[in-house]
Amino acid sequence: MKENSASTAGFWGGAPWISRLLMLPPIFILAMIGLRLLSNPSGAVGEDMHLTLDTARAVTHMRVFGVFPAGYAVVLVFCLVAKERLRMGLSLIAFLMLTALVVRLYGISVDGTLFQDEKGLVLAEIVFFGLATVGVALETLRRRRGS
Amino acid sequence: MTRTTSGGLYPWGNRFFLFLPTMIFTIVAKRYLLDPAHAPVPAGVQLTTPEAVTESRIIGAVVLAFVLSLWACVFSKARLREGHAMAMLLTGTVLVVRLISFAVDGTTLAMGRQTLYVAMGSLFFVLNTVGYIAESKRRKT
Repeated sequence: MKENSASTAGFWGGAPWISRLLMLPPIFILAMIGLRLLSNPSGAVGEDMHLTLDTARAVTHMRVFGVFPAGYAVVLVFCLVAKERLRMGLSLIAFLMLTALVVRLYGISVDGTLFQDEKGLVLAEIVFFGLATVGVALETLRRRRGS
Repeated sequence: MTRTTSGGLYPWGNRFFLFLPTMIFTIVAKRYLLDPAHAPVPAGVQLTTPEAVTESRIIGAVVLAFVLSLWACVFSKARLREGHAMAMLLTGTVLVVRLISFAVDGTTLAMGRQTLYVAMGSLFFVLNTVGYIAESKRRKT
């Protein structure tokens, strides 16, 4: 019985590290998207987004948009470092993935984009949304237990 | 009496500093979400495929996610400082990236609304820095 309660305590003690692990892949992806847009906007949007940047202003415009994913990654790192901010960070990821997923599916239905072309991204967003939601639940339970 | 009044009004004044950039970013997100084919065109971005339109919409989604986090801070006194920190990070980085772009892309202040963007970015960065410092001081007292 004692062993069982010790292993439960051990699990909840390690729970913040599971949450951190769940946060790492989206942080890495957002940072990569942000850095690509910041350092090489023409290449990034040309290859990945099929956008053409005709003027210097267009390049600046896209470079500025790189700040959003990069900024999101910085905010998530800020959440990652403190145990009490983990739930907030995971909620932000879940929210971002859900927003991107809904907008992508809406885009597929109204823009004429083929689902086949977006399948990988849709799947990635579903997986990250699911993992972040599991993390939020885990952090909520951990807080209730006071560990 | 005066102290009570200023104490009551203070969070609203500080909230207003956060409200301004949040409102602007909300408009940007709305434009990209609802009219992705035309939103980036004035800047010279061409969308040639349906996939490009969807990707442009996704840019709006990322901005929207950031903006909704800011709105959550605007409406909560407890999160006001975090909101200012996020807005400071965002407006400050946008400003720095824009200035670096002027040097490397060949964009100038005279092009389009660049003067307005730089002026607004600088103003919001200052306002959010002031808001952040004021909120930090309020928490200490």
